[in-house]
Amino acid sequence: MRREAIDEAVAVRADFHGGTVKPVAFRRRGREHRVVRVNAHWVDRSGRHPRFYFSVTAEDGDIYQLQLHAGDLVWWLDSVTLEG
Amino acid sequence: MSHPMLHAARDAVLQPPAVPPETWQATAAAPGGAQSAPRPSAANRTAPVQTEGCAAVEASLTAEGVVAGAGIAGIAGAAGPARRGPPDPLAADGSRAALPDIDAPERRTVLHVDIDAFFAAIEQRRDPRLQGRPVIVGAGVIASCSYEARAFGLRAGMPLSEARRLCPQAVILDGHAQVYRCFAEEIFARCRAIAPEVEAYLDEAYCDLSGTERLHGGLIEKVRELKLGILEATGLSVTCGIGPNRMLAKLIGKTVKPDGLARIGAAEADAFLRDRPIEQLAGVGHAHAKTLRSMNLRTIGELRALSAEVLVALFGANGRLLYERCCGRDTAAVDEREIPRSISRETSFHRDTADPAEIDGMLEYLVGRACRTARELGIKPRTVAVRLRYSDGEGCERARGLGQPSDADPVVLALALDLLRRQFTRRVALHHLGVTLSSFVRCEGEQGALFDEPEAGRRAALFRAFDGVRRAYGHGVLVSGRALQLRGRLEEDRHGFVLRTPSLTK
Repeated sequence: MRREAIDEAVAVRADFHGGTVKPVAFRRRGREHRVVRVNAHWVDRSGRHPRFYFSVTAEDGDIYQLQLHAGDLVWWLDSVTLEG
Repeated sequence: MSHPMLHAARDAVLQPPAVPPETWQATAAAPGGAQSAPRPSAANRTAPVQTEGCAAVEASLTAEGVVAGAGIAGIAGAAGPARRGPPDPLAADGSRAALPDIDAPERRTVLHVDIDAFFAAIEQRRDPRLQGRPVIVGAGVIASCSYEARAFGLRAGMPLSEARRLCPQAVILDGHAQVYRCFAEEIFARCRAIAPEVEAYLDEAYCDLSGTERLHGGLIEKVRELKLGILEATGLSVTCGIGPNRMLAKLIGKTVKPDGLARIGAAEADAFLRDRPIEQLAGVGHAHAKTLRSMNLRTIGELRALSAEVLVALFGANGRLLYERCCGRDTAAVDEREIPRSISRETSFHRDTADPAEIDGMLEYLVGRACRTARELGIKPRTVAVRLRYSDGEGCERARGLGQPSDADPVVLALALDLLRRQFTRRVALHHLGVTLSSFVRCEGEQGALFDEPEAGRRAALFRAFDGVRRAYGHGVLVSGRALQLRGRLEEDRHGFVLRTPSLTK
């Protein structure tokens, strides 16, 4: 497994329902990546505002880590994990 | 074996047990064990308890602390400290009222929650491609490994070189301590919802459920709900053990790992412990086990033949604890530990180094992390220790007291640097470095020096401001002095430098 840091603000389409959020797709470099599965999610409450993290599988099969910063509601694409 | 104490201990094995006869009478009368617990009967108001996991343990539900637990109640009561609780109610005639003393040691109920293969399980959750594959998390040694890896004989603490030899196909990951901490907090928050006292560690927690039976109704059902809630929220499985004390709760949990749930009553403790290997007793490590095995003592039941005096002579103060524990008694309370005994920050270097700039920078960074934790807890250390290990495996540690308790980075760092200089004397690269703060006093309870440093107040305000900025934007947003030397050598994220030892990257 190879993890590559990205650290880019990205546009994310997400479902906010019943007090939970679920990313549906994100756009990076003009290309839309549909989320086929949310593998895990966790919350980091160590800062002033919580950060919501999502490990998602995109339709290309790669695993991405998305982050929603509750302070400014900006989504970040943290990293991608590649096979090999 | 020429140690005179060992001869005495061997002799003691042949002597009648040096414990009060009522203990042995009671434990001998205690029926069955974990696998052959007493059948429920109307007479002792017991009910069968369903358990989950590998072992099917049947234990008394309502009467374990009252009826069945009475066998060792006298001894445990004598050894156990008085715990918090309401004052003893007196009846009109001056006699004890009928209200039960829920805080009596024999009525304690402790839940042990252990997260199964914690780090590895999280990595498997985050990346489904890892599921079903042997996964190792660690650098240098295994910090955690999946159950698939354990099938190859891999264990936590094993060097990675040996792990690669045993299981070449294993996926080895560095680990992400901050992620693990988030998962642990989620799990322990759920524990706090059902238990008034929770003593949490990195991947396990003790929950004091004493006196909550009426609140929760069936404890087993409540714990099952807890397990389900944790699984739904995090995707992680936990193993739960319920017992009359911490030691038994943890031990019974071990028998049903992973994803199990079991309960043991005080009455079953004797039979449950008797045939278990000596190494499973809390407090018996490699060295103690070696000593005991050399005396032909292989099970906890055999250890009971030694008197407390013999065990104290063999193992010091720890011997007294061993004596109590091998009889199934553990009076240690579940403690939230508002003031920790010590705060330790340590790590291995990514590459062994003798570069003074990197070593000093790492020490300043570790001191900064430790001092920040102390300030957040409102405590100041009196003692600072620095530990190092050379690349050839030799290690040393030295501690010294501060003239005045202090949580200020420069004060602690000055002493830590001095301790480092006095220890780092060989021309060998360093592999590992750590700092430990201990002997804490509460900030408000501290008596200041008669002639305080004139800048102390301003410095405290400065570090409060630093802490505020770091709380809001992450520890890594401010890097001080020598720690700047780590820039470019270590990866960084918003939590600071990414250290090599994942569980300690706090």
